[in-house]
Parts: sequence; C-alpha cells; structure tokens
Amino acid sequence: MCTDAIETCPLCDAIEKLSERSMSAQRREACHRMHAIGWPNRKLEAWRYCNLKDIESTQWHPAPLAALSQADLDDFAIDGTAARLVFVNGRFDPTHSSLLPEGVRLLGPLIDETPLDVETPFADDYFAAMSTALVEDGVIIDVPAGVVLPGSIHIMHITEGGCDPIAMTLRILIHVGPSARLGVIETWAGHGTALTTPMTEAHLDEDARLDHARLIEESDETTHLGTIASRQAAGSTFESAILSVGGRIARTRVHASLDGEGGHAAIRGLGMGTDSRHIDNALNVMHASPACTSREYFKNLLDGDSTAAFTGRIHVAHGAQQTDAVQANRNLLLSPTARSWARPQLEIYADDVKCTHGATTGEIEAEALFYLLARGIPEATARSLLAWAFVAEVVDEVPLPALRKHMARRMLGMLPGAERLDEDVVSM
Amino acid sequence: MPDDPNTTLDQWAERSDYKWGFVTDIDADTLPPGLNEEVIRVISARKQEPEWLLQWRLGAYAKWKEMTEPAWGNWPDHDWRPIDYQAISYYSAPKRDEDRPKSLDEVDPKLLETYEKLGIPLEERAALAGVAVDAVFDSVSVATTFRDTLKEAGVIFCSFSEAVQDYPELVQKYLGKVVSRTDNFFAALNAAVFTDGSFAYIPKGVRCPMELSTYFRINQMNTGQFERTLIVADEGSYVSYLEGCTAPQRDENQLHAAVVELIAMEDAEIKYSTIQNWYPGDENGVGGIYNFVTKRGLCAGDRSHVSWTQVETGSAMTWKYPSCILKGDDSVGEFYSVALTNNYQQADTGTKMIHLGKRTRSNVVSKGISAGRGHNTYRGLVKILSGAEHARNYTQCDSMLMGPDCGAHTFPVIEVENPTSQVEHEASTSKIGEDQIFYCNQRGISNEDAVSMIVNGFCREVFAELPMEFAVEAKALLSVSLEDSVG
Amino acid sequence: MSLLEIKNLHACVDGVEILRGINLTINPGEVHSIMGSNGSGKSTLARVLAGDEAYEITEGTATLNGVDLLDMAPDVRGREGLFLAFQYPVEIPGVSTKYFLRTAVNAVREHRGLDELDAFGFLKLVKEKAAWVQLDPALLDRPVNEGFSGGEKKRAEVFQMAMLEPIMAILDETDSGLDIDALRIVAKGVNKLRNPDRGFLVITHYQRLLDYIVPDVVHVLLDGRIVRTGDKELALELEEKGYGWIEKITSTSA
Repeated sequence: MCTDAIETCPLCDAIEKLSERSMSAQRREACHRMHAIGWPNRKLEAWRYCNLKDIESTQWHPAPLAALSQADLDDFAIDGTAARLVFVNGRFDPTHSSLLPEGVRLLGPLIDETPLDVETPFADDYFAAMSTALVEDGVIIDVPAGVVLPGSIHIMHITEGGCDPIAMTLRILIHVGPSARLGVIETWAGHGTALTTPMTEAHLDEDARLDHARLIEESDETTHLGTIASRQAAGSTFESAILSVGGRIARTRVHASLDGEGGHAAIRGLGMGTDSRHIDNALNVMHASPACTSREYFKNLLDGDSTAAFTGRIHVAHGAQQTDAVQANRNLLLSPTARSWARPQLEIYADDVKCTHGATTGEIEAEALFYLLARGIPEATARSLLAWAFVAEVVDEVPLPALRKHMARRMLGMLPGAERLDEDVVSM
Repeated sequence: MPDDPNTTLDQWAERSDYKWGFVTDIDADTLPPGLNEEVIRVISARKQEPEWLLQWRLGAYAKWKEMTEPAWGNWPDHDWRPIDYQAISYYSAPKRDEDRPKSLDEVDPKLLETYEKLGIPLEERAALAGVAVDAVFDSVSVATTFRDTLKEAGVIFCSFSEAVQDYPELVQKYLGKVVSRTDNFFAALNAAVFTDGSFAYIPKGVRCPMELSTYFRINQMNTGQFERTLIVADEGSYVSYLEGCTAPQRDENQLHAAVVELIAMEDAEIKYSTIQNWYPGDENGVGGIYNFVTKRGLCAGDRSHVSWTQVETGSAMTWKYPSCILKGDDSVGEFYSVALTNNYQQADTGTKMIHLGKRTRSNVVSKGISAGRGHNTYRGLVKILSGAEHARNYTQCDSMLMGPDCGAHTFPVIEVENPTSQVEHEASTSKIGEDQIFYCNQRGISNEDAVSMIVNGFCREVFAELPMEFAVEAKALLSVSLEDSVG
Repeated sequence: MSLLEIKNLHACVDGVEILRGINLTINPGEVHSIMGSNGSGKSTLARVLAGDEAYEITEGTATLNGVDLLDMAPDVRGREGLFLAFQYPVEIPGVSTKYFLRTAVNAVREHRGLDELDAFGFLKLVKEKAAWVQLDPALLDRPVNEGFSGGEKKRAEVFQMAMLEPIMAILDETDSGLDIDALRIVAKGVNKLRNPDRGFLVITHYQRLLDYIVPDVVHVLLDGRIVRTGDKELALELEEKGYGWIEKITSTSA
C-alpha cells in the first residue's frame, strides 16, 4: 500500500496536478512498484537487446491535453471498421470518435473503481507499472455471451507532442463472454518526444473468440513499450497481430495463458526496420491445460541500422498433454548494418506434446532472386518483390479484413524500392 | 569442519598432525581437504612445475576467490547439493596397487554385469574396474607400442604433467589461450588446482596414425576431478581424440570440473569425441556427480576444423557447452550431442559457435532424451560478427520425452550482425509413438528392444560422427541407461 | 486342429462396438478373404488379432494353433507366427529397415529355437526374398518405411512377411494404392508363400486382388458381423452387385 514516500512522489504529484484529481490507491501502488523495480538495464535478460540508456535520464512529463490535427486523423484512420474511438495524449476525444457501441465504456470516469492489472503477469515490469500509474483513460469492452459484434472496433491513440518529453498510456480491458466474438484494432501513432506504454488485458470465456491487432506507427522520436496479456478459457480462440512499423523503439511484451482445454492462441508479428529503429518482441505462451494449440509467427524486415530482437517462450506445464505449439521467427536483413537477435525457447514438462520452433536470419535468397532475374525482371524490382512476399505472408494471415487492406498499403509504402511494384501486388 | 582459507600450510599441517615433505614425500596419498594458496603451492611443487605455472595457478586462484558460483542453470527437479569447496581434497596420488582389487573376483558383480551388457572387451574390464593392471596384463608394453608409433609420426601425446616437464615451451605458449584461467568460476578453479590431464601436439602436415584413445582408455584412471586437456594441431594436421568410455565410472568426488582446450591451425582438423558415463546417482536422485566442464576449440587458422561429438548419459548434473571460435576464414565448427537423462538426472548442455572469419560454417545437432524425472536443457549461442561475411549456421535440436514427469527445454540465442550470413535453427519434440511400438511388436520385437531401437534411430545422426567401435558401445550404453524406464 | 479359430468376438473402441460377434475358422493351407465396405470392421479385426491395445475385447475368444491368442502380448503373437501386413505401415525415423528386420528375424528365430542369423546369412536371405517382390535392396538401408512410396511400403510389408515366415498371415488392404503391375508383383510374392501349413486372411475392399490371390473361402463383413460366406464366386457376385446388395439382403433377412 501507499507509503509515506509515495505520498510525496513527484510523479504522482505531477499526475494529480495535471488531472486535477487524486490518484487511486492501486495507481499509487503501481508508482511505488515502478520505483522499486528500477529503470531496466541491459544486464537483465529481458532487456538484453533493448537499449534504453539514452532515454534513462529523460524527465518524462504526464502528457497535457492537446487537439488532434486533421492530417493525423486522415493518416491513421482505417476504412471499414465498425466503430472508431479516438484518444489524444491518453484521453478520449469525443469529437473525432463514433458513438460508443453497446458493451463499450470509457475507462476514464470509472478509473477509480475499476480493478487494473487483474490478468497481468507483469509485476516485474517497470513500464507495466508505469502504465498503471499513468493511466487516465481507456476502453472497457464487455461482450455478453453469444453476441457477435459485427466488424471491428478501432481504438486510435494519437500523440500530439510539444516541447517537453511526454509519457502516456491507455488501458484496454476486454472481456469476451462465452461463445461471443469481437474484433479490436489498436493504432498507436503521432509525433513528438514521447513514451507510450499501452496495456491490453483480455479475458476470453469458453468458446469465445477475440481478433486483436496492435499497429505501432509512431514517429521516430517515440519510444513504445507496450504489453498485452490474455487469459483463455476452454475452447476459446485468441488471435493477435503486432505490427511494428514505427517508433524509435517498438517493444511489445505478450503473455498468453491457455487456461482451459482446447484453447487456441495465434500471435503474429511483423516488423519493418528502417533507420535505427529497434523492434523488440518478447512473448510468453503458457500451455496450462491439455489439448491447446498455439502459433507464433514473427517476421522482421530490417534495413538501415535497424535491429530486431525476438524472445519467445513456450511453456508446457506438467499435465498439459496433447499440446501443439509452433513458433517461428524469420529475419530478412537488407542492409550491412542491420542486426537481429533471436531467442526461441521451449520449456516442456509433459511428454505427449508436439512443439517446434524455428528461427532463420539471412538476406534475400539468391536462388529466388535468380529465378526472377531469369524471367526478365530487373534486379531492383525483383528484390522489392521478394521483400514484399516476405511481409505479405504475415499480412495475409491477419484475421481482420479492414486492417489487412490498410496494412498492405502501408507496407507497400514503406518497402525499399516499392515504387517499382504495381499496386496490384496487394490484391494478388 | 572446513578449514579457514587463511591458515598457512604449516599451521595446518601441524594441526592435522601431518608431516610434510614437499618434494621428497611424493608418495603421500592425499592432501587434507581445503583450498588456499599453500595447497596450490604444494600441488605445483609436487609436480615440480616451473615458476610461471605456479604464478599462473595463483593468479587464477586470486580471481576465483572473487567470483561467485553461477546460479543460472535450469534444474527443475533437482535439489542442489551445495558444493563445499573447502571440503574437497585437491591432491590425491594415484592409488597404489596393494589398495586395489587383486582380481576381477574382488570386484562388485553388478559392475561386471554392466560391462558385460555394454560389450566391453574382457581384457579391458579389469583395468576399468580398477584391478591392479600388472595383475592382468602388461599395460606398459601396450602403451610403449603406441608411443613408438606416435613418436615415429612426430606426434606428442602424454600426460599434462609430463608435458610440463618435457615440452614446457609448448605448454606455456598455448595453455589458457582458448579458455583463459579466469573464463568462468569452474575454469578458474580448474586452473588453480588441476592435477593432471592430457597433452597432444600434432606437428605440421601430420595425420595422426591412430585415434588417441585406446592407450588413453587404459591409462586414464585416476586423472582426478580437475582434469586439463590441451590439444594443438599444427598446420595441415589431423587428429581424432576419444575421451571417456561407456563403462560406468564410480567416483567418490561430487564435483568434476575439467577444462579442454583445442587449437587448430591453418588446414588442421581436430575431432574430439566424448562418452560421459559418470555415476548418475541412484533412482531417487541421491548422490551422483556434478559434471561442470569447460570445453572450447579455437579454429585459429584458415580452413581449420574443430568437431565435438558427445554422448552424455552419466552424472547427476551436467553443465557443459563445447564451443568453437571460428576465427580463421573458411573454418568449420561442429557440435553433435546426445544427452540422456533418466531418474533425477539433469543435463544443461549445448554449444557456442562464434563466427569471426569469412565463410565460416557451423553445424549443430543436439538430441536430448528425457525419461523418469530427468530434465534435458539445450542452451546454445550462435553469434555472427559483422566481419563474418557469408557465414553459415545450421542448428537442429530435437528432444524425445519418455513419461509424463520428465522435461525438455531449449534455450538458443541467435545473434546476427552480418546480412550475408545465413542462420537456421530448428527444434522439435517427440515421443515414441504407440503405433511405432505396435509395429515393432507385430514383427516379434519386445517393448524394450523396440524402445532402444527407436531411441538409437533418433540419435543416428550423432552416432554417425563417432568412430565405429565407439558408436557401437554408445548404442549399448543408451539401452542400458534407459533400462527400467520403459514399461 | 484349425490354425486360427475366432468365436463370437466382440471389440470396442472408445465405447463404440466395432466387432459384434465374429466367428471364423481358418485351417492350415487355407486362404480366406474378408470383404466389406469402409467402416465394416475389416481393419479392426486385423488389428485386434495383432493385439492393438486401442481396442477393448468385450466378449469371445481367438486361438492360434489352439493357444489363446488374446492373452498374448503383441510381440509374443508376432513371434508365435502371426503376421499383419499393415494398411498404413508406420515410419520409424533413424532406424534402418535392414537393422529393424534383422532384430525381428532373430527375435522370431530365437523363439522357434533356431540360431541367430549372422550378417552374412541374413543378407543372403534378404537378397533372395527382396527379389520375390522386386524390392530394390537399396531401400532397405533407409529408415523403416520413411520416404517409401505407397507401392514400396506395400511391397516392403510382403517382403517382411517372406523374411519372417509366419504361420498365419493377415493382409490388411495390401492392394490399396497399388497399380496393376505392383498388384501382380505383390500377389506373386504372397502366392510363393502359400503352403499346406500356412494360413492367410486377405482383407480387401475390391475383388481385383482375388484374381491374383485366389481364395478358398470368401466372407463378407457388414457392421462387425460376417453376414455371408462362400467361395470365390461370392467375391465376383459382390463386385457385380455392389455392397448395397449385401446390405439389402441382410436387412430383409433380419
């Protein structure tokens, strides 16, 4: 609980001053926890490849209110979603949002009475604690039993930065009732020197299904350190895609727990590394019950001085027989100074299981390139085409149609030499 | 009661009523337990080592005192028995013949039965069981024959102690060049107190005329718990070295901390094969050896080649990562491993492949078999540095699980800093299929034979790397180690 | 004494009764064929006789040479001379076919009180028997059934049968997936093994195989029971009229 030290915590003071109300006990406690954990350094296994040194001394300020620019809205909107909820600097922006669909509430007014961190196993995570301390708003989604929400809900968070380095977050709490179905897309975008620490907690009841995606398209001044936690009852399906195409650092930590028999979790990732972006995905998939399946497919396309780290652990608990788990990490290096690190891990305490993992790193395959050249395709085009093929495999698997289209165009815009490719490549 | 490390030897000797003669009393059996600078001086003096080696040991010891025992192993089902470094005796002279069994009749029949199952040649059984060798056959003459053949080829192969006396310049030049004396906690301890081991030097252009094994097998008894091996293959030479044997090796010592250093010059090749079958403890996990070994090969020259093959079935806990530093351009590193854990055994093993040179290649094949409450962990690092143009690595890591209470874990790390390189890692787990057992049964093959056959099939790629006769023994060893673990 | 005698055999899998009272007697030297549509219980019968523990026997008996078969472990049945040519032979990675087979041959020989075959004798036998089914001996260096084509797998099964010289051989749809040439080769191999002491139970869906392996007795299996028994003419009749005909006449007679 709150200690005297916390009562006088400067961060808490700043948050309270800005929001003009006092923080709840759980948020104060989180702030306390954050200080107790301390700023992570690279000696810690979890942060070995993620260099936070140059922002360590940054004085982060809770983000002030700001107005959304129309250009940002146009840039990051996704066509074809059922609802759009816009947040600017960590707070809801009703003017640019659609009406709240049934079962969807804002967290802001309920922040003091809503238990946070219920599902999260991130007690040791500095930025998860920071997220709880900082959170002012977010979304609570509760889909009742058997209800299938048509289309998907797009939660857009835009950072409108000023002179000061600002820190902000959102909390998205999702509960999908028995046999209910929901689609959620998160966009993290904007500009300014910022630190964003989003956290999404999902609870799936029996036979429920959640299709989720987090799209990170923040500017190169933004450090993105997010978390996703899911807990699944028997027969439920959780699909999530983490698309890291922006940010100076785009790090996502995922903890997926398959608690009930016959659950299925599929987590996909696509990273586009340009300049000196660091893409970092740390996953922990817990097979706590028998007969669950899990899939993790993470791909990174790395150009410039960009780097990517992948740490994936599949944990099969004692007694979780008939587990079927597959994990793959593929890295394509396009420049001599790009780097990749992979740590695919299996920890297995049951014998009747099928677990595989694979990791590959390399440049564009010479044989494939030669094949295209032999068909008369110019080399630069051939390279772009092969790079496109590499990323398209992930995009094609995203179960949210609206996002798929958006992503395909976005990727095509970012691909080196993509101007040589016809737009038709997307639909083909 | 552990000794105060600051006690001087004199005080200590007096207290234990023991009269020391540093050089003359070379037959004295064992130093009392405890580790301090004086103990190291005694070891060095007994071995009549040059001053530089004593200083080298002392330097390692000074560093070791500042180090802490590593605590990152993955031992899910093992009660760690703390190692009391002051309770170990760091010098023990070879057993004298009068203390040994006079003939096989005096040897534990259970041990002999195991030899039988493993198909160990009759004449070797006595030697392995520790029977005074002279009572069995004249080992000296056998050894001499081997020595003559090697000498003719110009190959130096002798105990580490002999090498220090006879080839001090070679030892000084290469000792600690691959595994520095402060590399890690156990390597530092070994550097401080190692008592013996082997040394081999293959001169330029020489293909070693025999596997460095047979001789070694008979004579390696009592090399002690802190063994040190150094093999140098000069330009264009080749050597195949075999360590250990399938016979179960009982030992009173809890800790084994060996160090092996390999250096391959331009166009040289070293093939190092190990069969490790130290006492694993009983079926309840009581007792057994802690086997914490540092093994590393340096591919120093262009086109050099270091290949590790290991079959690990013994020890209560194994902690070892035979590694390769691929410095020369076009050099090749290989690691082939079978690790089997049964009952409460725990093995944490793997390799590190560090690619520095251009077009360097490494190949890793690891097969882990877990049964009972055994746990098998593969831990590996593949690192491609930025200068390693067109480097290649392929790693395959397969686990076989037998029974609901065992575990198989895979923790590889892949770090790539050069885009022209290609790195591939694959891992899978499997169990023996009931349909496979049924198929074998239908052809008249019993459950036990079917399991042993399928397990051996699983390990086939690794066994293919072993010298023929070693491979045959390794297969028998797996079957024996798995006995009672299959219903 | 009859070679194989099955009386009122009932068997279940996962609580569902598949065999519902099989009665069948095969004498030495006889070739019996069991025909039936998919799901009639043909393969179940084969696997139950071989001792697959996935099936629970709820009633009935089966004896081989007068000895209780159901009481034996699967490998003992194999050594006693019961052979099953599997419909889908399993792959065993890393275990060479040669090594596998030598282990099997010597297990059977030991059981029969014969000396172990040495490497030379074994290879001689392999060469001879492989020729029976025109099996490329190079295949035998591969892991058991791994990378074998469908036809190669079936030929390898018959080859193994020739090597093990069983007294009672069951062929479970050995003809499925074979073209006409391969079918002839397989049948030729089986016919070479026919002798006055050996019994065969040929399970098939199609009459085609029976043109080449001519049966003494033909049984039709429906819903886990033998509903009709006749000579080879029955197979031809069935081919002509289809399994629907059997269903019809049994339902009207029931």
